Amino acid sequence: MTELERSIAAYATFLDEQSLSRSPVPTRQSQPDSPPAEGEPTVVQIRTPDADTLPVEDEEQSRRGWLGYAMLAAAAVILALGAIVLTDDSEESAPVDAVADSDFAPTEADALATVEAYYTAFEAGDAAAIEAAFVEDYSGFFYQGEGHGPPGNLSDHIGNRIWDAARGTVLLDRTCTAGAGESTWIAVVCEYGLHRSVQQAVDAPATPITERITVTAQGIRTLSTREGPQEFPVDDLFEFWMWANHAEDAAAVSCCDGGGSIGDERSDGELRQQYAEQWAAFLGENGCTYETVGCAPSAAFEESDAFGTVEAYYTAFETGDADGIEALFVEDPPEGGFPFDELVRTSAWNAGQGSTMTDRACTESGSDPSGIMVVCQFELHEAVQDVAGAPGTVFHQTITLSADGIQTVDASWFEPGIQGDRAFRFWMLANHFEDADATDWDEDGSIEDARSSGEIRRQYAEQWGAYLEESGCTYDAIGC
Amino acid sequence: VIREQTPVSDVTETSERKAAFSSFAREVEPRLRRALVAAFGPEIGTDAAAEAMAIGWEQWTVVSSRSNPTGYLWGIGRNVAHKSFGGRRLFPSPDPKQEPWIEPALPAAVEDLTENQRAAVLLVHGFQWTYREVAEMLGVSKSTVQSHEERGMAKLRAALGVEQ
Repeated sequence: MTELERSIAAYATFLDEQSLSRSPVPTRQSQPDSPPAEGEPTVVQIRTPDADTLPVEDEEQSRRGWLGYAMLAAAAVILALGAIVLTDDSEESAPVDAVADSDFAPTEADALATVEAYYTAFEAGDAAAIEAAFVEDYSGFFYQGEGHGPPGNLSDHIGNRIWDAARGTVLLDRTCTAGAGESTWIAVVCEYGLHRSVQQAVDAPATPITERITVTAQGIRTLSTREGPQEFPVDDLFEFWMWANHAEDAAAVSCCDGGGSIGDERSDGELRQQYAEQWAAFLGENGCTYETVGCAPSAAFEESDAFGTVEAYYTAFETGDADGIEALFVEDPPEGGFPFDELVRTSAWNAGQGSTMTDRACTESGSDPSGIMVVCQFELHEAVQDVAGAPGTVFHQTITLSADGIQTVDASWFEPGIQGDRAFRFWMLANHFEDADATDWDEDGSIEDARSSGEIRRQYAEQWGAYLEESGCTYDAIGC
Repeated sequence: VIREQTPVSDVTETSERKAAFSSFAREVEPRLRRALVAAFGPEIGTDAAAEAMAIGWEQWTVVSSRSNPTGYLWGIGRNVAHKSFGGRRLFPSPDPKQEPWIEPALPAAVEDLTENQRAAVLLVHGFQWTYREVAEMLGVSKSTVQSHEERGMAKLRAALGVEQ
């Protein structure tokens, strides 16, 4: 064995010890009275009380990115998807003499009790009790749901739960199944319906949630959340109503800007709850339903106007006409959508590189007397895709309009994103390092700078396209 | 907490499922953890292994039906690790006074290897796995593992200025 190999072996041992030290040493003082009896049902249901008796939970506002901002959106998507965390310990984590003692492993009853304590604390908005349900050295991150931004730490998670509780979210029909014994951890999977205050207000269905939790004798080691589809976009409608009628508080009722205190999160949640009640009354007075149909805009607002405005917006966007875009917006656009200055620079950048939109189709997704929400789907073809023959990127863009014009423009894009972008970026770094960043618009730059960056991107994209053709490579770099 | 009676047939089925998973977990979890630690470091690797095993339990029917369930969980753990990086340092440097036999520059050099090179180098030379064992875990061929290992070792030698 060489010196290097000896060093690697020693380092591997060190890493293994570090890994094992992440597992809590089994020093639990209180053991369960008795393990589950043989033959006892192994699937244990934890049922929540009736909805009326329960506290709160979350809804989220989706931070939809906007469209051509390929790079920004890519980062956002990565961050949004990024997440989940976990931890746990292995059976090896305990000292040898303890490993043999199966009492140190949590029982199913222990694990379910820990999980139940967590949910009880969550529903009660009890920050200290939520924290106490986790292991002391919890250092993981939490997946906060797509559109919620980057993964948060335990402090963020607690703030999020407190915000949820404060706005009256209820966990419906919760069931938890424990399994995987004979280790120092037990996996618990819980399913429930997340009934947010806004959903309650209009009697809309709850959002299905699945949470995967690993529990050790010292508490919860990992927790990750998967949110199912929300059948009706009541959150979007509520936020639309907020921006149209209470713009001054619209940002405040959103969750968890990070760094806020528990008290801040609680008061934000309570504020949202108050507005949700006002919104429900508003819908009731106007004969609206959560299904987003049968709730017409006010007489001053013609639906055809909305679609005409949307069409004019896209025409201005495609040509990079910042003044034209601005003219279509309300005088003081709320902060809810894609920031206006970024919108116009993105437009200029796309126009500079000759991006095109195809297959655009727009439909109404909801309306109330404040105005209308229109969702448009289209394919965006950037220069890179254009030269490489790659498919366009499908975007779903939501535009909210009131009688005075466009209020907000948001967008989500579909995986797998801008095809060829990574290969192009790699080629730029390898061959034109000095200009690699010049092909993207600068956050601090002007609209004209953005247009110029787009033009540079087009020039290099065409060179890259020629390179692909000469070398027999493809945009996805396969076979190259 | 209300415990509801479960039909006997369900109990049997669940017990069998649990027994099968527990047996699998006992055998696989330590190896999976080491492999993920080798690729991502002790913090992220340990967490990723835990999450992968939890998913394994949740989706045991799917996992157990795979031709290489260990490799399948490696893939899950790997995805989890990528999602949870969060800018954290991957490979800690030990205190030279306590670990004098570890070359001080080794952690940084290991961190500079690719993910597969790290896994191959640390599993083969650190944990004494065979190429075949590493290949099974990573779901690749033996020759691929050998290639990762050789390239990784070459990079380490270059970074540390050693010939052997």
